Amino acid sequence: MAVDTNMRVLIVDDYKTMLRIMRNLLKQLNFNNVDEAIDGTEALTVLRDDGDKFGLIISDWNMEPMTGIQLLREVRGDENLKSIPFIMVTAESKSENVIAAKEAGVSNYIVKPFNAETLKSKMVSVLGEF
Amino acid sequence: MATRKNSLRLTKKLEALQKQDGGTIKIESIAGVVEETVNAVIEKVSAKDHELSAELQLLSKYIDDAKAEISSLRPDDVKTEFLPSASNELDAIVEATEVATHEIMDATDMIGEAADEIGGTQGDLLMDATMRIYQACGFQDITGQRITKIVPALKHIEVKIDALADAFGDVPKKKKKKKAAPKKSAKKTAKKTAAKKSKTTRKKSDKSKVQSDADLLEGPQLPGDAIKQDEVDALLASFD
Repeated sequence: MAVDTNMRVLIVDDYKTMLRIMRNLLKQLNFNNVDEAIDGTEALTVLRDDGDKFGLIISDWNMEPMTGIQLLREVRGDENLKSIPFIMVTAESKSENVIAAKEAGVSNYIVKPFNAETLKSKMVSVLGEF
Repeated sequence: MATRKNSLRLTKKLEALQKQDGGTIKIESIAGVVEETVNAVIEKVSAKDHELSAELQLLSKYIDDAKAEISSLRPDDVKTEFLPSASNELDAIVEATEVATHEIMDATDMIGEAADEIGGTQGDLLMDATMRIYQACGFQDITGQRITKIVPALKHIEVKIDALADAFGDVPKKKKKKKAAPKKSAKKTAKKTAAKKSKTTRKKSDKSKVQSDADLLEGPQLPGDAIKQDEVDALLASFD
């Protein structure tokens, strides 16, 4: 079954620049239904308000007050949200980080800086071809 | 026997200094004890001891010189002026690159819209170029994070400098500057009084050259300190 590119995608980053870049790259990939949050706390609020409508979360790691890994753990611990694919996009590139994210249930992990091709390939690996 | 007596006397002296200085002994106190000891024994010593005495005097001088060197570094300046200034400059870099990056992306959006209208191979080429520009704009996020990392390092240096200043006790503290007016109120009134200020400034400049050319070379101003283009225009107009 083809992926519905009209699915809602939540992007989470404390840098407006990165939110804009991500939104634009997603637009290039035909994902136009994009919501934004500037940290884990705000993201969680958005998700819990209408979590079942989101098809993908793309989150930065290094944010305050709630980091990306904390958000990931909250999502995976929430019965209504736990099945949403979660891609971490971060400058944190130590193997310990990747391991911790994997243990917390991350679906995929992108290291900044990244390009559209990388984003697409990770999204395909998580969602399937689109 | 005399050596043992001297040793006990020295120990007592050091203990008293430690008590007096609150658990630690200041460098200058140690220098004082060394000097006192040298002077006390200097008459009783042999030629070989004179050599030792000279060494101890050299040591005492070395400590004094080190203290003078540290004083000349003005650790108080580093803490109160340079470190906060560096921190503000770093914040300004992050802000400036963010603004510039968004300008670039605004322009890129316009190119993207034009690419849509052009269509075909040329349109695709332009669209591909805009995507690459967007990707490259990710530098702002990375540099921002890297710069943010420097701030705790500066704080760490500040703590070390504090400890150094404490160890040398009498390092001269910088006189407090007269507190500047708050930036916000200055910003609010700046526009209205630009012309008036400029006239006053000019009068002062005419009377005495308060600032040297070097004083005027400070590089880009932080946003709160900088005047805007309309204020520059008003300043220039006041000369007419």
